[in-house]
Amino acid sequence: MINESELIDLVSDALGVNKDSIRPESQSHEIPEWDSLGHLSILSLLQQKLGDRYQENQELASATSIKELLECLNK
Amino acid sequence: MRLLITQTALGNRRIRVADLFDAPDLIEKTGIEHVYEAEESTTSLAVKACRKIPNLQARPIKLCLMVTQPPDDFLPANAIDLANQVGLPSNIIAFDLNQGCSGFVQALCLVERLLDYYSETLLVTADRYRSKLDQADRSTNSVFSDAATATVCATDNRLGIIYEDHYTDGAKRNLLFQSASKEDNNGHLHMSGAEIWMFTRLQVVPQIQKAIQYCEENDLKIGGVYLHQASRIVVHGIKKFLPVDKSIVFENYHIHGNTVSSTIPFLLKEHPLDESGGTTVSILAGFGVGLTSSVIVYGEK
Repeated sequence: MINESELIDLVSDALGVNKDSIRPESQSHEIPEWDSLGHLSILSLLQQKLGDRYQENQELASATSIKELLECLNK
Repeated sequence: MRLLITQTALGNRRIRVADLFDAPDLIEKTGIEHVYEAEESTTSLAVKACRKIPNLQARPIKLCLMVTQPPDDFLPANAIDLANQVGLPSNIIAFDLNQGCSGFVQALCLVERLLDYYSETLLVTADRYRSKLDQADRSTNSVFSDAATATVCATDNRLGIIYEDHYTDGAKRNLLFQSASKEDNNGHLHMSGAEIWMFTRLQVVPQIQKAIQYCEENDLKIGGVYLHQASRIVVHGIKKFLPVDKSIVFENYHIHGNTVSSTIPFLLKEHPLDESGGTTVSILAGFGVGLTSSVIVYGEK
């Protein structure tokens, strides 16, 4: 559904941070902007960009890293 | 049941969210530019709302129900102090309902049944979340306002709740809580915003859609939809999935912030329920702390 590079682009857009500050191994606690509200922005942007391809679920809401998000989205 | 009058009171200290956090996109997401903080007790704020009701002391109030969380006092019930301060007679019942953002809708469900005997009820909502917040937590500090409302409810056999649907899930307690123990999150209110947003999408949206379907199946026209005003991202996230005219889904988070159990009565003050009866109804949806979610349809019985 989404590859790692696309997800990193989307997360950096949602959080309003430089793409270079997000790596494939990044976790939410390492990025100040990736707090509860930041994560909400990520989910909202995912829904906007992926539309029908995007299946909302509670696991996505509790994901705390790029890796976890990718796993949830590509299940 | 008819809602005769609703009055409101906001915390007196107006705070510009942009002064709290240097994050230009924050207000874009929440839709809330100002929040309001009370520099008085929750009960005092509630008294302010109640005193705006004309001739309250002369009304035949038999029950005073105060939705408040957390209350000023562990005991006695804060509604008792409130009833005394606003001059209600002593031959009434007064008690608190410990519930948050779904509290007003749930209270209406209880009041409608209680009105069979307590023919006029003072229903109050009052919360001072701002005193419980971690100042560094932008997800809570940028949205919550302190406020109170007072609504007089009276018996009316023509109108009332014709549909209700509730959801209560204590397994999600950790998503929005304030523990009495200071060891838990330093005693501050904790909110997992993203997980609660997802809850509104997965649970609240289907609940409201079911209520809309009920109206369609019974040829009822929806005159107004009153959602708990959590923030722009939550309200819009729900609104887009509702098959109704979007102009009847009222909003005021941008004016008052998230006033917890008071958001829907604030909406009611600006957009009173349509009491013309017939086939026109209103949908009210309160959701949040618990997690809980309650949706009702109000109209002609």
